[in-house]
Amino acid sequence: MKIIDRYLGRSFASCWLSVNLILAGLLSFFELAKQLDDIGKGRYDVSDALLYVSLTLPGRMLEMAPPSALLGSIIALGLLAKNQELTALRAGGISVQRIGWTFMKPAVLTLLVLLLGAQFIIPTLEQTAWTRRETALSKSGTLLPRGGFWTRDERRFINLRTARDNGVQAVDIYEFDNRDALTGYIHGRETRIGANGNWELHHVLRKEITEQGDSVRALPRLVLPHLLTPQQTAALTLPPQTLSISELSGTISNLQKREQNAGRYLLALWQKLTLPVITAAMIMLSLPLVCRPARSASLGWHIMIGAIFGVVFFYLNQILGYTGLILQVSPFWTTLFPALAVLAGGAILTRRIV
Amino acid sequence: MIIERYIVREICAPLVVICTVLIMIFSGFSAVRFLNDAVNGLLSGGTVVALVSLKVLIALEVLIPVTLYLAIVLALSRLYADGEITAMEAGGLSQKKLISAVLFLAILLALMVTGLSLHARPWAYGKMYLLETRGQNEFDIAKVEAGRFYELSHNLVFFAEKLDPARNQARNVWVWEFGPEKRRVTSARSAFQTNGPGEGQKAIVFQEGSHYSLNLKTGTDHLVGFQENVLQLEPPQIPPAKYRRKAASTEHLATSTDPADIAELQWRFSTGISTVLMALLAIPLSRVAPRRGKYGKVVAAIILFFVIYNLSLIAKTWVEKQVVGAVPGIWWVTLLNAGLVLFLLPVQSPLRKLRLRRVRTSGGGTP
Repeated sequence: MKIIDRYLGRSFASCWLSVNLILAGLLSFFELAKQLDDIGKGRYDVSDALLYVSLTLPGRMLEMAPPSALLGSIIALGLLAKNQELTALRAGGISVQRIGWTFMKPAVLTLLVLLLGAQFIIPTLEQTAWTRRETALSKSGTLLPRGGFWTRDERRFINLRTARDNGVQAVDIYEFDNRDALTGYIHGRETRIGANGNWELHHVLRKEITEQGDSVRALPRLVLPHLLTPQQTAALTLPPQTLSISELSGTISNLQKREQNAGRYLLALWQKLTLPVITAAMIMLSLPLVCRPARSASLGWHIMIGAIFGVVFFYLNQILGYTGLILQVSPFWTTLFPALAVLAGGAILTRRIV
Repeated sequence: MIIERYIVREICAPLVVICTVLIMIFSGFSAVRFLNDAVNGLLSGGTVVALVSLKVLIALEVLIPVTLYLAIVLALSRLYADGEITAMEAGGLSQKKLISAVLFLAILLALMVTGLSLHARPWAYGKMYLLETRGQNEFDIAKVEAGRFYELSHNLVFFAEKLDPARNQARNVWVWEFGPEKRRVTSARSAFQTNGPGEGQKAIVFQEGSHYSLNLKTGTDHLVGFQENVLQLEPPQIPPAKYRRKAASTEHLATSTDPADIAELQWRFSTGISTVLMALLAIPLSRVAPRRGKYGKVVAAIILFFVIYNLSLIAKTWVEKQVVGAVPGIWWVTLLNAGLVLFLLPVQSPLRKLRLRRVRTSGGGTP
């Protein structure tokens, strides 16, 4: 059994790897084409574009892991079926479910490694890639993207704006009372964000607005305590997909505390967490599609139909996640639930194969 | 003739499967990317579908060559591994016949790819640019996400605490306008968007709120409380005749002397040629000894394909940026590719002779 496990595991792993390589390679090619269009903006050149594409490659491989697991499993099973190896295995008393389980083991193992990567390695790579790209694109070499970012802190709205030419970060803070009347406005021409979350503003204009009129004061320096740490600031400016699992959950609670919409971060978190389940579902789906009575119909057709079905399901699931965001449905129902449903459906269909 | 037809058919079966699956994966992948924008309120569902179809149409000039290449590697590997080619060779099939069978299919698809590159590509890019600009016009404040900041234009930011989709309204709304040395803030109990009066004009109507005008220099600030206030949105500027290279017609590019135009033109002509060259390259890569590991060289073949294609992308950029002149242009990659084909392909060619001599002197066995 051990020998068979190893044989099956190896044939699945090599098919999976090849498919993943094709898909990730193809997407990298299109990504490179897109990146090369930006050459000449700022200091961005060919080596930057190549570095960006290679740094984001592991992320793309992770993204393509579930569809390649499906195709890899279908191809591996198809080859086994074609050479009558599947028949031989089953004649030897090994059930289809058992074969599926053998495929599942290397897949789950690889995915655990990938999830660890999604927590510790891939986000660092993607964030480096992203930050390097943004820095090279802007003339000055600062981190924040155009327009800076907005956030709110109870009754305060904070807007950090980065000038592209010199990288100076100006800040605008608007203070409202409980009846949504503006009570204060602070404008700082330069901002330094301290490690403890204190923001130090320079060349400050401070206005206090009352119903009787307003008072204006110019201050050389003003410190606003406990606003956002540099890490929290960076997390808010990076795209949600590039954040690690722990950064995502941190950002979600940070945003919810500020009564901001955390939907996109929540979806990204769920999509990362359901990756192993959806990969298992993909493998499960391939079993009833390929393990049919031999010679009943052409195998090629089954492989194609299975592949189309699986790929459609995988992307419908992703699209559902985004549609759910628009319709305000919890990501649990749009990500984990369909994956679990297909896993269960696949298991039931596989049980029916004798 | 029958054998050639058989080989073509063996290649066509995986060709159809791979092409279908790749197109589906690619469209799913693009749909997810565009949906990100749809969530940002920038694109509607219909626009996403149209954009994905156009993306796939553009991508076909690469998807078809990669499919053909993989299909040849897979099909011929199987024929070699099952000893079928050995049997055919015993029956008098020359390498030339095998090559001509592949060449027939490759030239057919290459013509299609060239047609796509020369005509479909500029058309699809033109349509895509149009949809993207029009997409920005579809923005509606009642269809966005609550609790997020939206940049409606570079000097206008919108935020709503709650949405009321039933009444098409946003609740507890803030809008910031940035002017030179000025900040204007409007906070209101509710807001909705109206179209008109003119074509493409839009306005946000605020109810029960106040409007502040803050001066960053001296000057006085203003505060106005209102029951209803209308903010006219500037219609997004559609660049009417902005020149987009990828959407330019091939006839126009042919007359241009701009290096970037030349690069684009050379790229459009090179896709078909690459299709044929890659198909020919697939023949020697699929040679495996009978009954050996069937798909041993597939991984190497995939990597080789992407190395060559990425190289031609870089070559195109170099022509655009005038690192390389228009005369070698991007064709040095094509020449490199052709050299590799002649070197590896089992037919009489000077490069091939060189290789055989080296194999003989090093005492290698198999040719």
